[in-house]
Amino acid sequence: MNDKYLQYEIEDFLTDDSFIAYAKNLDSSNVQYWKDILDEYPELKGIIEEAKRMVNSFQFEKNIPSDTQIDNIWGSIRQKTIENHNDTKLRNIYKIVISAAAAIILIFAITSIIDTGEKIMTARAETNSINLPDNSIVNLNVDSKITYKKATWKKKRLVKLSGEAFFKVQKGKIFVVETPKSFVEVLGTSFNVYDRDSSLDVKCFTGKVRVISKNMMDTILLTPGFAVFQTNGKKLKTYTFDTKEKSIWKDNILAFDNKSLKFVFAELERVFDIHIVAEKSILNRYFTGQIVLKSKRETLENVCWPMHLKYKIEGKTVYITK
Amino acid sequence: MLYINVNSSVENIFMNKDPNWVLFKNGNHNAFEKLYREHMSGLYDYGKRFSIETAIVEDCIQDMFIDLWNKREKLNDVENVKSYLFVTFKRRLIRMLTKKKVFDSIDENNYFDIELSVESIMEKMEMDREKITKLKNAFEKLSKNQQHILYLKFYQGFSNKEISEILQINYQSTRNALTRALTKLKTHFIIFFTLLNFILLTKFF
Repeated sequence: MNDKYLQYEIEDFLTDDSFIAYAKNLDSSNVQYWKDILDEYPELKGIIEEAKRMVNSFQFEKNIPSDTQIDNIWGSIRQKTIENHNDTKLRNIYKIVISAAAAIILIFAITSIIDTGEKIMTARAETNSINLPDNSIVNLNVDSKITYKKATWKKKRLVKLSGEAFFKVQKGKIFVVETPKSFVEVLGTSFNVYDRDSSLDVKCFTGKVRVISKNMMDTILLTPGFAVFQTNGKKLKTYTFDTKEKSIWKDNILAFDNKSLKFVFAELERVFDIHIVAEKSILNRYFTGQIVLKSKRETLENVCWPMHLKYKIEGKTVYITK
Repeated sequence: MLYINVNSSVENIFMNKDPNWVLFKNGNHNAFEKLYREHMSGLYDYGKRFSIETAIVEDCIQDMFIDLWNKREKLNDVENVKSYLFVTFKRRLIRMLTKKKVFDSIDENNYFDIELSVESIMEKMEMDREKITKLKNAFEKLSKNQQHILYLKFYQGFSNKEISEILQINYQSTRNALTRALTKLKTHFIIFFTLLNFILLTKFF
């Protein structure tokens, strides 16, 4: 039935797609087909072996992208496609009309039922602990805000954050924290997110945390003890920290690793709801160390003493001098 | 009857098609990511054959996928996602390279760069370095077009029909070029294999 193979030269086998699938062991139906041929025409054994070897000897120098490359490029694609997602949909006029009509009906008829999302804010010198619908916990630091939607929570665990918060997430569907500068994606873990002014900082305490920077399109996967920070929209940088050591605001500790006093004072202003006045030459100095948050006076003492600075408290304003 | 109809129409949507492609066209972002992750490495390798500049290849892959997403509603159903992506990607890359004046010839094949890997061949088969080097030299003497076809065939695993689509030449020319290339290389194998067969036979008897 397949007499034609008796006339085959090596190159005829090698131009036959089903033969290559067989030689490379790609799919079972072709493998079976060629095994049957071999049973029927055992005299083909030699040439088929040679052809098979030739297929497998085409080994080229390879260019293999690294996992980071694959992830980074996906990060940029994702950023540009997820954000445009809604725009492209809106191009369709028909859909605009429908959604506008639906919106009007909703606004006038059932305003009370609309899920505008839960919004929780803390003022300066005020922290809060929030239980999310799935019992995940958010510890919200001073002067911060989160929003999330109760109605769609089961489908989408998305929390928008500005400021700083510590998350303890229940296992389940992907949990996303969106901040002005990043997406932080996790499955079930505990981590701290800080996004204020020009700084972003994410620390992973348990589980795995994926940080996607919005402007640099960087993605980094963090495991416990690893953290990432970014200043002024530069590349994400990782560093390590001790997860057992109490080192974050939640434990009433502020740890600074070579941070400007401007940055340190901004933190203190938020924690104690004060206003700190200091000249530029002071603000530009760098500070490394841990500050245990006690009373306003003690804390200021702990910062000023090692830096040889003096402070004077006048109501809500603190003057710091050399 | 109705039940059967419903069933068969569902089947029709996915029949002979990559389900991820169908889902992606319907706006499923996860399916889109799967498509990217499945094909990224193949496209990357293909791109690097035309340009050693990694950034160009990366940009090109990135822009192509962003474009695909934005145009997803207007895209046709394609039978073979991989070859469709390769055609689209190559067109985009060549356009970019021509614009950057990296390319100044009409024949894109002139810039296609590929080498057999002596080390990988030695790993795969018991063949001494000298023989492999001869094979490698013979491969280098093939025309760029033939090398390109062999690459698409044996590295990327495309069928003859897909290769003819990617290279925009007709099916018969593809087959002919492939056969000619293999005939030229064959001698380097035959010498080796007849020797091997001889050894095997003498052992056998």
